[in-house]
Amino acid sequence: MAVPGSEIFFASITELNGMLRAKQTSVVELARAFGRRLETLGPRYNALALPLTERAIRQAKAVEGDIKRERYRGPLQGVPYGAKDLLSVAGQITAWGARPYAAQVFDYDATVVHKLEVVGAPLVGKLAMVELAGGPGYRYASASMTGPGLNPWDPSRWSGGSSSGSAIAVAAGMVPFAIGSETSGSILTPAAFCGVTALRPTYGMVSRYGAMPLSWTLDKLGPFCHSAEDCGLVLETIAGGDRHDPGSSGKSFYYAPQYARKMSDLRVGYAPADFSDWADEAARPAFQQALDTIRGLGVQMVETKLPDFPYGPTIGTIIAADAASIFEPLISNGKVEELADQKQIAGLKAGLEIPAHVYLTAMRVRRLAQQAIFKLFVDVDVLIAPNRPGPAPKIDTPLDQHPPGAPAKNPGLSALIPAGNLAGMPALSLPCGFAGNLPVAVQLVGLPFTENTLLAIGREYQSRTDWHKRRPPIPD
Amino acid sequence: MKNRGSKGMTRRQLAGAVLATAAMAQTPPAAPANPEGELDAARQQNQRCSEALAKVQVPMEAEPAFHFSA
Repeated sequence: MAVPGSEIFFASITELNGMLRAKQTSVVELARAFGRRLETLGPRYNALALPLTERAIRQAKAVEGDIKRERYRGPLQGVPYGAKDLLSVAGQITAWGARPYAAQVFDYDATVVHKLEVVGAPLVGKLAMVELAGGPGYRYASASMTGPGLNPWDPSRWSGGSSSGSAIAVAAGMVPFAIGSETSGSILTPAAFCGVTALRPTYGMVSRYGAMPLSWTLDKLGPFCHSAEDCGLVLETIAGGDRHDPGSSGKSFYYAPQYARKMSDLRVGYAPADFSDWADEAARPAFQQALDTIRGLGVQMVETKLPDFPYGPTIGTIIAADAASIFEPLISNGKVEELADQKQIAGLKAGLEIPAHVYLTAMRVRRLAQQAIFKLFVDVDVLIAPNRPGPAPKIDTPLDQHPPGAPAKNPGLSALIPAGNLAGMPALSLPCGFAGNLPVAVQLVGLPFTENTLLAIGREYQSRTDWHKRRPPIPD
Repeated sequence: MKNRGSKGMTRRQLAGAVLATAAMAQTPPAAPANPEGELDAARQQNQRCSEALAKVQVPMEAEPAFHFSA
C-alpha cells in the first residue's frame, strides 16, 4: 500500500473513499498525512486551534479494522476532517477562540462530532475561529486568541470569519472537509473569501448540541468542502433530529441528486443591481459570468428583490441581546476584558442594556420579515446573489468601515445574508471566479429544507466551471 | 463673469462642497480610542437599531419568533 502523495490533499470525499476501498491508501495513512499537513500549515495561516493527529490515528486504526471486515459505513468512512473550535470534543480543550476559555474542557462530544465518529471520519484537529464566533460584532480580523485568519490566496488578506480556520483548512488542503457555524454570515463569508464551497443548512437541520451558543434561534452548523457534491454527503451525515437541541427540526436529510428537479423547471430570482451597482468593480465580471452560467443551465431567470425590512438592525438586536444573556457571567466576572477586540467587549456589555420591548419588537419584525420573504418564493424557487460584494479585505482593515457605494437606492438582494439567517433559510456558497488574485463567490438561497435543490444547481454549475478546483499558491 | 451660487461660491466649488459632505456622511465614525468610548459607541449602535425597528408597522397580532421553526 502506497504512502499517499500530495494529490490526495485536494481530492473529493468520493475520491478519497474510493481510494480507501480500492486499498490504494489506508485510513491511518490519510489521518497521518492530513494531520501532519494541518500541523505544518495550520499555524502559518492561524487556522489551527488544537491538533488531534494522534487521536485521529487511534480512530483511524479502529476504522481500518471495519474496512478490512467490509463493514462499510458510508462515503465519509476513513475521510479525515476538522471541526471549528466551538464544538466540544470530550476531554479536549474547547476554547471558542477566546482567551477567557483557553483551558475549557467538556466531558462530552458535540452531536456532529459524535455522528462523524460513528461513520468513521477521523477528527484531525480543532480549527481556529473568531472569538465567541464574533459575538455582537468585532472591528478587526485579529479578534481571536489564535490571531487573524490569513487567507491562503494572499496572507496579507483576511480569511473571513467567524469560521476562519474551517475555510482556510479546506482551501489549503489541510482537511478534505470541515465543520463551521453561522449565526449571520460566519459560514458564507469565509467560504467566499477563501474560495471554497460551503453550505449553511436550514435552521434546525443540524443539531447544535455541544456547540457554543451565540443566538438560540439563529445558530446553525454546516460543512466547508471542495464541492457541492461533498457538501451533500457531509450534510446527510450530520443532519437529523436531536432531543438535546431544543431548536432541532427533527428532520433528516438524504442527499438525492438523482431526484433533483429538472433545471428547466426551476425559477431563479436575482436582482441585476446586485451584480452591477452593489458589487465591487473588480468582481463584476466574475459575478456577471456566474449569472450567465446559471442562466445557461436552462433555468428561468426572474428579476426580484427582498421586501423592505431593517434586516441588519433586527438581527443585530437579537444577536446582541442573546449573546449578552449567554455571556453574562463572563461580563460580570470581569473576564470579558481578556477578549482581543474592544468592540466585541463593548458590544457584549451594551447588549445587557437592550430593553425587553426592543428585543421583542425585533423578534416580531423578524416574524413579519420571514413571512414576507417566503412570499417571494411564490414566483421563484431559488435566489442568487453575490455572496460578498468583493474579495477579502486587507488583514488590518477595520471591518466596520463599509465601502462607499453601498446600495442605498436599489438594495436588491444585498441584505440576503441577514435576511436568509433571520428566516432560517439554507444557503450554498459557490466560488465563481476572481477579483485580481482573490476568489469571489455567489450564494444560492432557498426555502427551508430545499438543500437538495440548491445542491443540484451547485452540482450543475460546478460541472460547467472549475472555480471550485482552483488551488491557492501554498509555499513549501 | 462666473455664475456664482450661494455664499458667493462658484458652481464648481459648490459641487465640490456637496461631494465632500456626501463623502463625510458615508465615512463611518473613527474607532473610539478608549473603552468608555467603545461602550458609548455600542450603546449608540443599539439605539440606532431600536429606532430602525420602531419605524416598522408591527400589527398587534404579530407574535415574536420565539417558537421558531423554519
